[in-house]
Order: sequence, then structure tokens, then C-alpha cells
Amino acid sequence: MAITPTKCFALLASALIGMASAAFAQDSGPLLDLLVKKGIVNDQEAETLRAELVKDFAANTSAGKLNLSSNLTELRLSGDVRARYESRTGELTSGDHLERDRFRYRFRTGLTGKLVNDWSFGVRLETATGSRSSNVTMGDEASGAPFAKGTSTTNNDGVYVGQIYMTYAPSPAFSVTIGRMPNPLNTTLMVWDGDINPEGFSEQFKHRDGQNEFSAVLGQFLYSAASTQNAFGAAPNVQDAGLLAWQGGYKRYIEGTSTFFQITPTVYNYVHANETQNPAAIKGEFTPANAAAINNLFVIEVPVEFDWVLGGVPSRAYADFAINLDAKQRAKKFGTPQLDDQNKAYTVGFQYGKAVNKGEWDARIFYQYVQAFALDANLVDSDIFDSRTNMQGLVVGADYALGNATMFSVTAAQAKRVNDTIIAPGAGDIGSNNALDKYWLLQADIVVKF
Amino acid sequence: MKKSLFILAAALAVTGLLRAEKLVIKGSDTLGAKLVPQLAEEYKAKNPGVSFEIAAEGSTTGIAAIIDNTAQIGMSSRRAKPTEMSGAGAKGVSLQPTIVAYDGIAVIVNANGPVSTLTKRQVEQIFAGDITDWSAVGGSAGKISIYTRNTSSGTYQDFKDLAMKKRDYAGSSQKMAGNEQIASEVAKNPNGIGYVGLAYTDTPGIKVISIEGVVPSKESVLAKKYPYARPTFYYTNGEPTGEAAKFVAFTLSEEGQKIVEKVGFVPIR
Repeated sequence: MAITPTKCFALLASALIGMASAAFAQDSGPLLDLLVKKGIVNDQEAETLRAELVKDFAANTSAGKLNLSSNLTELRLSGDVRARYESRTGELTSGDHLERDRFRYRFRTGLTGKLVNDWSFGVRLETATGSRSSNVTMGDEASGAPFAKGTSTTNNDGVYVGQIYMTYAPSPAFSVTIGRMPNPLNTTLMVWDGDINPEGFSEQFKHRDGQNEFSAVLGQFLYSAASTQNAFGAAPNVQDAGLLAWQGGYKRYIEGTSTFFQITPTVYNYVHANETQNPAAIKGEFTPANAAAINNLFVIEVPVEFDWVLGGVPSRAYADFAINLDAKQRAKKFGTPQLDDQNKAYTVGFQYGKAVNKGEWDARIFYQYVQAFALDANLVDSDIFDSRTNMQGLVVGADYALGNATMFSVTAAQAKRVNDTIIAPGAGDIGSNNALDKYWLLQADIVVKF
Repeated sequence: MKKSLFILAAALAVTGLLRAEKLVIKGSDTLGAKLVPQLAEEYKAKNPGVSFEIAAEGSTTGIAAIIDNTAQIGMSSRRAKPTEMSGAGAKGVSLQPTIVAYDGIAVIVNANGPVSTLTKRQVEQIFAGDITDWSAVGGSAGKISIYTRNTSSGTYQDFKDLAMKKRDYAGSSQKMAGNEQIASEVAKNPNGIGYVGLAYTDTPGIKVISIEGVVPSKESVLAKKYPYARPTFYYTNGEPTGEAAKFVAFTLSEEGQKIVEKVGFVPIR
């Protein structure tokens, strides 16, 4: 190919594109086409140049080496790493204290993708085995050598599948999700720990009409599956336990999208929770010795919130009220029929600010009150009141964005029992189903998000 | 004596075989079904010692053959993808494109159908499955049957890039092995629509659709007015050498380009 001054200019222009960023190589087509149109280079010269640019792109960028499925229209990798100092203190009715100070870390990374024909998927890997926590306690290698990866009992240092789901959304108004999914329900820590990713099926509907938005979320979650439903011989049959959730929603936009009121009443109906035929983990009756049983729970939850801009700062006031309509039987089986009125729970909170970008901060405060038979102790938040019901207390916290990807957070809680005549049931980090009287929590986190 | 003559004859035969050059060409059905075989016949007539092995199973197979060093020339109706360039680089192969002809991807329908012209938007909507009935584009009511090439075809990818904004084909589309199969199916189906290279537009029973008033032709392709025009390529590992270089030169020669035009492609000059 003879190189004339004009062609030299063309080559230089295209080379500069490549040098500026190899990623531009793929976008050089229009420029090359223009050079051909202007008669500066011919088609073959442009083609040779295009091939060279693509070779550079392929050789010098990671994107050039990726061979993504043509069914994939979008792929996103994200996640976070968190380091935490945590102090939990409990005081029993006897006055005995338990203090547990820990340094912990958490890692989560997710891959989500949009596919052709209205499908999408998500996979999230995270540390720790528990459903309500992804934390790993540093140095918690009681049965192994120092710095061992995990312990013989928990293997929390391992990485596990926290979420794996597929979604079909044929329209913006409707979607169905199958798998181990982010909780589709609008709720609060009082009822659902934020780390729980329920398994099963969910259908979501949404319709906006002017300033009014109506929604519905249906959940059919496999709470606990039996290994076999119909066993050989005389062994009792065991049925899968399920949790059905029906949530209706109304959202009233008042000004833009930042000022609105929302209410999302929800009904939770436990299926096959008949005490004797549940899978082992949740088998039996809810008693002082067995807080995992899910008998006699028919819970109605009503979360409400009002978001607005206060003095130029996003603010949020919220509340959540729940009642177990089958608490009478649950109290009776617990051995305290006289406490059948312990069936309610509520939380009221306020948040000022929203820490997202560098230098932004927020502060929050809420009061939470949960009676013993109001909620499923397997689902309530594991931190705030140590996975227990029959607790009430105040929680304060603040976040400060050290950078756009880095957050510093502090949370403190102080709580005590609601009813002193029974224990605060639940399998918490400071002991299970003990006579806990008072509880304190302090957490300081640094989170890096990517 | 007989034994000696037999050995001599065998030795001569082996020598003759060793002297015969075999050119392996793989890839695009668009190029490999008609054009390259005709070029090869003409080339063989002038170079009796040369034999050809031509496999036309799609552009992807042609580029892969160059990367795997199982062919000297890879025919392709599309450009090599970055991942193919990357894969080639990892094996020390430098994919070198040479434009051998221009082509226009003609949108074809059954000759008896009333529709003769479509907009680019309508073509996109039809092949993506947004429009499913001919009545939506001025035709008689009837469910549109879409015929496309298979996924290893360069035309399959080129048409997505040129005509469909890289969208996926309608789920109902039927994938055909080659241009001739598409033309044949559309000729039989009154509700059919498909696309073929310019060289396949003379199939009886089909009609070429005008795209926003422009019909694919030598003139409209060379003037870059036809929206679905494209170059077609020979890919080689670096600059071609030996017999491959001679065959590429023959393809680009005046004689070769006459064959290009005769077959139905647009010559490069």
C-alpha cells in the first residue's frame, strides 16, 4: 500500500484513536467509513486498518477477550467487602453478664444479567453459612490451626451461593422470579432480617396511574423441605413446610419521586406447619426449649413510610405494625396460655439524610417492640435484638460516605424484655432461649462496594 | 523387468502427487457456494497442478480454520470478531482480511406477495418479531414466516448488525443452512420473508424488496446507498503466500473480478 501524506494523516488519526483507548477501536468504524467516503483511503486500506485496531483491542483489553453469549444483553458484576467491630452484651435475670467482642468481615459478590426474550438472572456468592448473616469472625478457628479457613462446625470462611434466581418480566408491570432470591417483599428488620434470601417463587405486579402506584407481591417460599415426603415402613410422613406471603401496595407520589407515602400490608400464611410432621429443623411446638418451631403463626404486617425532603435533605419516617392472629394457640403450646395477648409488634423510626456520594451522611433512630408470640423468631433481624422476640428497645445509627464506594457506619442498640414472666425466645449470638433480661449492641463498619 | 517398470511408474505417480498443490478453502456459504468454486475451476484450468478442497459451512468456520491452520484461505462474509482476533493472536496467527467482492443482502419475499417495499424500521420489526402479520406493512393478512441463516453464518450476524440494530431474531424464525435454501423456502411460502446475497436473487418465485426506495444492485452497493451492503473477505494468516497468494491475486485480477460480477456479486472495481 502506497502511503501518501493524506493516508498518513488518516492512519495517524486512527492510530490516535487506538492509543487514546483501545476500547475505541470498536467504534472506529464510522471514522474509517468517513475516510473512505472522502477518498482518503480505499476500502481495502480501511479494512486493514480496522483489523489492526481490532487486534489491538483484542490483545490489550479484557473486553476484547470476553466471549459473551449472544443471548446476554447486559452483565453486571458488583459486590461489597465489609470489616466490622462488634460488641454484644447480655445480662441475664440473675445479673450474670456475657460480653462478646468480635472483629468480623463479610464478602459478597453478585453477577446479574439481562437476557433476550425478557429473562434475567442473578447469582450472588457470599461468606458464611447462616441464612441471617454473611459475617465471618476473625480468628474463629477453635478447632483448627491459627488462620485456618473456617472451623469444623461452621466453615464460615467458605464462599456460598447466597442468591441464585431467574426472572421473567414480559412487561414492566409484571415479573415472576424463581430460585433463591432477594426478598421481594417491602418489609422491615422487625419481621425479616435483611440477609435472608427466601427460596421459592414470587410474582410481582405494578401499575402506576398518575400519582398513584398500585402493586402486589406474591411469594410462595419453601420454608423447609422434607428429604422424603412418604417414607418407607412405619416412619411418619413428612411434608414440606411453606410460607405464603401476599402483599398489596399503594404508593402516592406527592412531589417527584422523592416525596411519597407508601403502605404495603402483608399476610403471612405458614403451610404444613402442623408441629409433628415438619422437617426436623423446625419440628415440634414453639416452647421455651424450641424457638425454631413455626406452629400457629398467621401474621399480618403493615409497613408504612413517608419520604420527603427536609431542608434539602432526603428524610424518611416509617413504621411497621404486625399481629399474629393465631397467637392464642402459640402461647398455649408455649405453656403460657395467660399470655395470649402477647401477639403484637411494632417499630417506629426516622432517618435524616442519605449517604451515597462522598461526604454525604445520614442518621437514623428507631424504637422496636416485639411481643413473644407476634412473629416468627427464625426471620427477625439477627443483630438488633439478637434474633429474639419478647424484646423492646431503641436503636440509633449513622452512615458517612468516605468515598463514593466506601462507607463508614455505626449502629448502637439497647434493649430489654417486653414481658418479664417469660424468656426472650430465639437462637442468638449470646445464647439460645436463655433468661436474657437486657441487651446492648455496638457495631462499627467500613464497607467497600464495587 | 515388469517389477522395475511398476516401481518406476509408482515413483513417478508419487512424484506427481507431491508436485500437485492442494489449496484448502473453508468458510462462508455466501462465497463458497457459487463464487469460489467458479474461481477455482478457472484457476485450475490455468494451473493444472493445483487442486482445491472447498468447504462452505459458514464464515465462522472459515475464520476458525485460519486460526487452527486447517485452511490457507478462510472465506467470510463478515469481519472477524475481537474474540476471534484474540484467539488468533494467542496462537500466533494474524488474521489478515482481503476484500474480494461486495455484496448486498437482499430482503426477499414470495413473488406473489403484494409487498414490494419496506422501510428499514419495518425490516427490523419483522425480523425481530415485533410485526408478525403482513397486514401491518401493507400486505394481505397472513402470519409472516421468517427465514434466516444459521448462527455460524456471517450473513446471519451481518444482517443483525446492519438491519436489526443487533437485536435478536424472532423466536419463530426458521434457520436455514444456506442462501439457496432460504430462496427456495420463500419461493414456496406466500407468507415467507428472508434474506440472501445478491448472487441468489435470481431464484424463480422470489421478489427482491426495495428498502426505502433502494433496490440492491451493483450501482447502489458501490455507491453505498443500499443500507445492507457489505464487503466479503478472504482471511489469511498474515499476507498470503505460495499458492494461496496466487489464488488471492487471481480473485482480485480483472479476470477474477469478471467472474465475481458474472456470479452476481459486485466487483471491487
